[in-house]
Amino acid sequence: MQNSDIDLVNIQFQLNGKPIRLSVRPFDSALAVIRDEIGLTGTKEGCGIGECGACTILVDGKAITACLMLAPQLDGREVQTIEGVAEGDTLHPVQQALLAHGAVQCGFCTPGMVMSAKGLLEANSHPTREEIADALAGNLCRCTGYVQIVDAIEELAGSPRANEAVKR
Amino acid sequence: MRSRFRYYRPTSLSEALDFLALHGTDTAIVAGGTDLMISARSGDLQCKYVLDVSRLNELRPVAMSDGLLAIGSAVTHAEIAAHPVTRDVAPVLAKAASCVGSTQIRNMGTIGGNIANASPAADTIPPLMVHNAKIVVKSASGERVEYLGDFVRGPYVTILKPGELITHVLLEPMMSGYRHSFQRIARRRALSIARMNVAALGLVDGNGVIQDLRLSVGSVTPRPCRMTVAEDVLTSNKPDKKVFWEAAEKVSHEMVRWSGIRPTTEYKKPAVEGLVYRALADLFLSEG
Amino acid sequence: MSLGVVRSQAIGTSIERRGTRARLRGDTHFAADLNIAGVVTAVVLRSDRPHALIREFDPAAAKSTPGYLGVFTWRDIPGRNRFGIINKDQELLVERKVRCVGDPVALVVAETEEAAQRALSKIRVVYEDLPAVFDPEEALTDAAPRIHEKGNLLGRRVVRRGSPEEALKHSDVVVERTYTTSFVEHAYLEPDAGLAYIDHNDILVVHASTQNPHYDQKDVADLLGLPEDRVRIIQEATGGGFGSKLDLNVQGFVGLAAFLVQRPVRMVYSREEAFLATAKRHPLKIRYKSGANRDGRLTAVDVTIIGDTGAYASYGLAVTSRAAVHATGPYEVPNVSVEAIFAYTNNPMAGAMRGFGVPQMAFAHESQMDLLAAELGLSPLEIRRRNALRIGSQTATGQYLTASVGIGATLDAVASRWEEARVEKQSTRAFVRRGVGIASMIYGIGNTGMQNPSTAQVELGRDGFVTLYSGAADIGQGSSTVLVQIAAEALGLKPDAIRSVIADTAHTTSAGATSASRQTYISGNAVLDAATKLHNVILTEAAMMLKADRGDLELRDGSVFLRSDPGKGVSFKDIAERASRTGLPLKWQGYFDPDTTPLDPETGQGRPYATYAFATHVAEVEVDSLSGEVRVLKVTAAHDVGRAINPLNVQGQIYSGVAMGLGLALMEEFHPGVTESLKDYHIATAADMPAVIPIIVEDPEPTGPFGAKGVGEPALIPTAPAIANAVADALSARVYNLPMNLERVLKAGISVRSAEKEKSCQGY
Ligand SMILES: Cc1cc2nc3c(=O)[nH]c(=O)nc-3n(C[C@H](O)[C@H](O)[C@H](O)COP(=O)(O)OP(=O)(O)OC[C@H]3O[C@@H](n4cnc5c(N)ncnc54)[C@H](O)[C@@H]3O)c2cc1C
Ligand code: FES
Ligand code: FES
Repeated sequence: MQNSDIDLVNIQFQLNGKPIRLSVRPFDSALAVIRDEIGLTGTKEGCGIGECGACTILVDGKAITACLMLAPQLDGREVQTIEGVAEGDTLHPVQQALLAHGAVQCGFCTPGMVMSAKGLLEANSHPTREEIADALAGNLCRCTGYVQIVDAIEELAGSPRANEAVKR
Repeated sequence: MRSRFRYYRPTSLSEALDFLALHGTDTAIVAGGTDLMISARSGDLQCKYVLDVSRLNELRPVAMSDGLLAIGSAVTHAEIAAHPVTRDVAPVLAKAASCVGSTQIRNMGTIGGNIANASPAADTIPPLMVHNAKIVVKSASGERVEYLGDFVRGPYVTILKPGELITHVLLEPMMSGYRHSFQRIARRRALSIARMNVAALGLVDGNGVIQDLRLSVGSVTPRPCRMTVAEDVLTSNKPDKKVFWEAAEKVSHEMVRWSGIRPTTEYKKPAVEGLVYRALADLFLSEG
Repeated sequence: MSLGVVRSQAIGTSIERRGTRARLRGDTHFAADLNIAGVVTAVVLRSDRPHALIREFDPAAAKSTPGYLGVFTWRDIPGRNRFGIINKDQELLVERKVRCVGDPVALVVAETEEAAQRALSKIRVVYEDLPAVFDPEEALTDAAPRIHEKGNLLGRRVVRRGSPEEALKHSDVVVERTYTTSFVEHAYLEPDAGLAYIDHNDILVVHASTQNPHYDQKDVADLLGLPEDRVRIIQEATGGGFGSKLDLNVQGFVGLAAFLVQRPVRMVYSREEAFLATAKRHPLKIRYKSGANRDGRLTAVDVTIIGDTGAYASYGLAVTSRAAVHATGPYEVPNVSVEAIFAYTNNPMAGAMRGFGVPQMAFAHESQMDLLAAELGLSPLEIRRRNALRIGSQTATGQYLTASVGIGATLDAVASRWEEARVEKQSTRAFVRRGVGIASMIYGIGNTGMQNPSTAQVELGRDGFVTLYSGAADIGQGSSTVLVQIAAEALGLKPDAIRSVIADTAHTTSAGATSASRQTYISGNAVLDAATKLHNVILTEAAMMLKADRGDLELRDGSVFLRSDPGKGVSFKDIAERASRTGLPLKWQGYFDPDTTPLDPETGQGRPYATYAFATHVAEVEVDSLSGEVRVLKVTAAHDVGRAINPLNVQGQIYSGVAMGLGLALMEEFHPGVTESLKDYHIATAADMPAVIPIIVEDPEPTGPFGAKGVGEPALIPTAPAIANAVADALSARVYNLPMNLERVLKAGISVRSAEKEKSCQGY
């Protein structure tokens, strides 16, 4: 209706392992397209300005905030959203670890958190506790206080538990 | 309400420059989008076109050329922080890049965007200043090279003209024997714009005398500059806490000289002194 | 009648939180994720003035916007344009004047969000500005502009006991200080959202992010002039609330819009709108005078609390009372004078936020305890031990504590870490000082001195499965899981075997609000009551079917077995079938209302709560006197929760509280008219978190479900004061204002810094 005066941009990319083609409005964010056009609502909007990480997705394996990406910038990329993380009924190890540590409360930050953790472990399979906290610092969580989240990823990464120690 | 615009993604630099030659006044350049998307969301961004330079290979090198380190404008903070070359010859910049925002912001945000946005708090600017960085700007009609201190005219203001884009920055590599420090103050330990930041490079000769000292401080002057008044205090002296404080006070005088006394000065004056001291102590003393 | 033995071990087990898998997969729908055919969008035109009369309102230009469906004002509200959880002082759409920036002026409905925003931008409003007042003390002067017709005083609560003036006069030491705190934003991760439509039965259905579905139902029905049973509220997965989603935020707007345009309507706040339009934590100014004798015992306190509730009351009165009642902290104080006065201003509304004023009060009383300790030459741990409430103590309101007073146990639990940390705290770098602080708290579970019952149903279905019906909104804290654990324990079932129907006003009865840390204790008891009744019926039937003695029966995994002959038993399914033939009811209602009495209006004496939670935190910090930066290294947090029904949940609440307490201590400050979003409002990130050592202390509460009390709010309360005391320890100077931001800490640390600087300039 109101799109008549807009030059739509045709894009195609890999979404959760499958090719997808669509026409997008050039000024929409990747987040708006993923949620509203494609209908994958697992990716959340908590701020729209890059400050909360709820919209984190992986683009070519790297964690980015979809609210700060223009929809046409998805073109040609390999994109993964939370919906593409578990394999059928089997949770991804990151998801399993978070489950086992009770690291999910309201769950609004959770999809973004999973994506960031996944992005971290793909780049660095043995991060230290500090590296984990740093890598997840772009994902705000108001419920959990992060401890169980970092515990979960730390255990998954197989590095020694450091929570007991006062870090310097 | 979101800004509306058309999107164009050139496949080569020359295509980009041609586009800018035609539509420069109506075009905003986007690289990582971490600044631009904020103003697009609020509707503040007013332009007909957005030109996406993020994938131009010409803007993505990190390499030594003619004795200088060239970093393409579309290189991301994450890449600068991790790249072996930057870590080797510009570690203070690599450190600063690793302090920007969050993982996500570092994966998207670029050095060219950081410079062009010209925020007084930009984390890459003080390190670039101590590397005597030059900005290489191209347009369809040619190229110009400007020192960063001349390129940025004030908060969020540069001399970039319509039709131009930044292709890369050129840094003098850090020579062997130099020490470096990047320090910042922020309201939390991540995901926080710097309240102020400091980059320093220093060289001590065989007699323990400071031979070269370069210092730049963010968020205290309207334009990026080197704190030569403080550098002068330090060069030809031995690293000594007393001298550090003297230099730190020079910096705070400089800040007040530029900006006058403001409500924030009550904090910023002692804080900038403290931060400069911290950088110098980090530079020269194994123990503060 | 005695109950049978049960085998379930559902209590004290960290079972998986309900709904977690779906959340991890991104499959859970929050309100903003809902989509139904034909849904349209509503947005609110909000005031940009703090106090003004609406002189003209002209929506004509909006009407030509493509996709436009309607602009509505208060005149379009069919029912009563008044709402509010305690005081009905809020208008869904303002009638005559706006009282704060963000006040709702008109509701715009259009096919899409964009069209709605476009139409909104074309509405012309002419305001006549009125003088505004932003300081609560000023608001109470005669010259102040009147914000509400009844005046600017929201309420006052006095607590008086003994003769405080006299006692202070004769105390060995007296310390008096003034403390202030800021507006604080809840910053739940999910901005408010809702979707409403009218169903095939002509019932208005509102799906919403909420903490309080049954209250929403009442207020929405009133606004629309509908009987309550014509409005159904369904709580969708809720992305945190922390008190702010107790208020009616989007629910009234989507309900009204759906009612007026007869289309499904949704509304999703942007983060900016959530910041602008929802409640904040009350900033308090606390003048605190306390006295003690050489023996280290408190003699008296004299406290004045000034609260700013902003333009509307919300939960302001609850905060007034709770702040006053908790002013003495977890200590025996024989002589007490507390006066809390809360005023309206033209600031944004302040309401409920995790702790209802107690986190602010704890900052004051715990700072005072350290100041007294210093005066008396006692260690901060010791002065707390000497004054801690114990069984037999009387609280400031004259209530005798008879059980589950775990404050002493929490002090003992942190004592070894406290001592070690004091030894370890050698400064690590020059200018960077380590400090250790301790702080304790008391928190009354449930609403203050008033009825606040909960109800629940537990039903045995014909298929042999048990279903729990509870109106308690789970906002992430895990009440749905804990309530199921309680029902499971009472019925000898595995929690997995219980189905639940939660927070849907069509299928559940009121459990009251998810607030005041009350759901485990109060709704837990209601569930236990219902489950116990069902247990009884099952037992009676089974006894009949097995021709056995009730005392010989055991409920286990959905069957009843004979203890004397474990091979013999009947399944719940068989029992259900028989009961349905005989017409025996298998759905039972549970009810619980804590045993409280109203507080005396003159003296504040009474029994405000049936039980109290206690906690002590030890914080270890590093303070950089060069920059004012504070790094929290470690928090050791001991909590008396009565009984941890789900220990992992309790730990999760403790970590959560520490994070929020750290924010309150160091970085969270909302400046009305300035703070817009998460870019200028900072909450702790993963990188800010210290090591946290949670210690669960279990001093069972006899009236609690399996001994449980609550932990949601207590988790947060001691953190900020413990950090404040640690910073004071590090700098030998104290900050009296929260947050202890860079500026305040640098200023407080200036003498440490000067001394260090002196040293460094004198050479080596
Ligand atoms: C949550 C968050 C946290 C942040 N934290 C920090 C921080 O800690 N420190 C910090 O310094 N910054 C921070 N920023 C700001 C931002 O990320 C940086 O400035 C970043 O480097 C901008 O790069 P970009 O590629 O994303 O720029 P874009 O948004 O793409 O562009 C920014 C501006 O530069 C122009 N531009 C981009 N590339 C070119 C070019 N090649 N030639 C000419 N003009 C160009 C654009 O037209 C635009 O005006 C933060 C931003 C966000 C959203
Ligand atoms: S919604 Fe993208 S970072 Fe918050
Ligand atoms: S679990 Fe609620 S925000 Fe993270």
